[in-house]
Amino acid sequence: MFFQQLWEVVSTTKYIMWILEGFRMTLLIAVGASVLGLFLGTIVAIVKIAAQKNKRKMRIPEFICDIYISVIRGTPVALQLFIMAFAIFAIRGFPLEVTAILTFGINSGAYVAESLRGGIQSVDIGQTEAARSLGLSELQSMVSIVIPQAIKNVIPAIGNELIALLKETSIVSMVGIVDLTFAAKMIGAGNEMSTYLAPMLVVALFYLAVVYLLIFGIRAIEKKLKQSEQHVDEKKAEKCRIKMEKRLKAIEDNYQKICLRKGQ
Amino acid sequence: MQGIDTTNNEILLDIAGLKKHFGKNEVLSGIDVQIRRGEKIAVIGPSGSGKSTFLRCLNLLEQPTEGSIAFCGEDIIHTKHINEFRQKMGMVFQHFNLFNNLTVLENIMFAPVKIGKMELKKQKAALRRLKIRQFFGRDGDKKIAIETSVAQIEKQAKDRALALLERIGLADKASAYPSTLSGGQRQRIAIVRALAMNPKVMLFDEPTSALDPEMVGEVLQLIKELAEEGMTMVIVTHEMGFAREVATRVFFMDGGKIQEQGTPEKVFGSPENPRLKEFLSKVL
Repeated sequence: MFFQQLWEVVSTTKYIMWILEGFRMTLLIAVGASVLGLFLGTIVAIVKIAAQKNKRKMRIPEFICDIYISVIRGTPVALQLFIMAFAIFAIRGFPLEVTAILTFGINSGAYVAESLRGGIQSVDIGQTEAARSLGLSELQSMVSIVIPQAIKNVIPAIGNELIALLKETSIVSMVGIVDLTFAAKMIGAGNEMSTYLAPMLVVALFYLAVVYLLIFGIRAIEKKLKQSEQHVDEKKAEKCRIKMEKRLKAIEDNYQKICLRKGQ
Repeated sequence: MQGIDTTNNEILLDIAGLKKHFGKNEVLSGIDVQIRRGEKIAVIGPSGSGKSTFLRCLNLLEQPTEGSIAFCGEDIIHTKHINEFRQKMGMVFQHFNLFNNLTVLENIMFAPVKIGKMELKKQKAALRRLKIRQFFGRDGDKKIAIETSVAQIEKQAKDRALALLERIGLADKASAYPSTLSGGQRQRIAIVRALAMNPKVMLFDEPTSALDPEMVGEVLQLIKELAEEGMTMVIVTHEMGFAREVATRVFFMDGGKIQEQGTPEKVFGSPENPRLKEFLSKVL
């Protein structure tokens, strides 16, 4: 009985089309929102880091960022979506999916900002001091020394945020956007099916597949970053050694030439 | 080493009335000293006496609350070009502070390449301005010659870095990351990294305090070699034997002030200040 229903969901063209349509919408919102969220989060994190060093000038931007973070993190995302869809962007003809992208982008921006700030602050202050003591500017030491190390620290947190964001987008069904979850609900509510279990399970597999892909990607990046710092790439090291020996020989030859010339 | 007479050399660092507060806590309470070219200054004293803060004030890693510091006769506290002064003051930290995301070679090349590129950019900008002026018929036949290129800057920095690594016998570690090295190796690379900028003075902030005892020797040996080559240096240290051997002048700091200073023979041999006597009796 159950398997029959399952088979019906995946074999009926109408249902498959609904699911794929919903999948497209979920991906659109998730990708759009994560791009917007990473962008917003980076800006807010930079403002907050800059505010620590220059309290007087950055007082107002920091205040705005603080309000943003506390309001977004302090209220449920469903409520934010309702406010955006039914109050701020309650304009006839305004595309609902854009509202959704804005809502989730602004929402995840607050979380991304906090993890980025934590990542930058977790880099030892000595790294900055060393760069400054060599005569590099604040910006140079930030860009070339601190941020590359911070990125390595925040990748797990950002990965978590992206996974959470993908799943949170299921809330958009509450304002009538046809995403994966809504598609499952539509199929289940139809007269022919009259059960929710089978379509929900099929849709769950879609979510799971994307999350697994994300996890896989994050792990690969983490592994690569870790490797670059702990182990020496043997082939690269060998190449470097050969090059270096040549260079050193050239230096030595030059030196001997100079010595000879001086001797004459 | 103490035979070298530095009394007539130019004054590199002229420090007057230097004070530093952290909130209400006064760490430095008025320091007046002059450091001449070629001098090797050892700063000793109990912990919390302001030694490290004093050193960090010299290249403005800590902003002094009061007083003045002149480097080669130029005020460095109220300047906008502090980065240019810092290029001429090498600093070595207690915890090495090698850049973890760069290989050993990149660590050493990093600052020379970045700063070389910046100078090149400035020169190019000046050339552009000159050309525009000449277009309007001003500055007739003036010329600016740009002699370097990015590739050349990088090559020079690399050659110098390799030569420096060769000198400390770590050329085979050029492509390794700092986390794979021992403390002694890291500190020697940190010293060499500062040297790559051709500094006029080297500041050492307890360079051996975070090292295993068996690695202290190799680092001290390198510092000693630098001293013999005539490098001006200020060393905050707890290695009394080393201070005695290398320094031309010893400062004893306590309570944010230099309580006694003089040649190592005088400071270690016949101390006058009661607190210095007490300190020496504890550490020697």
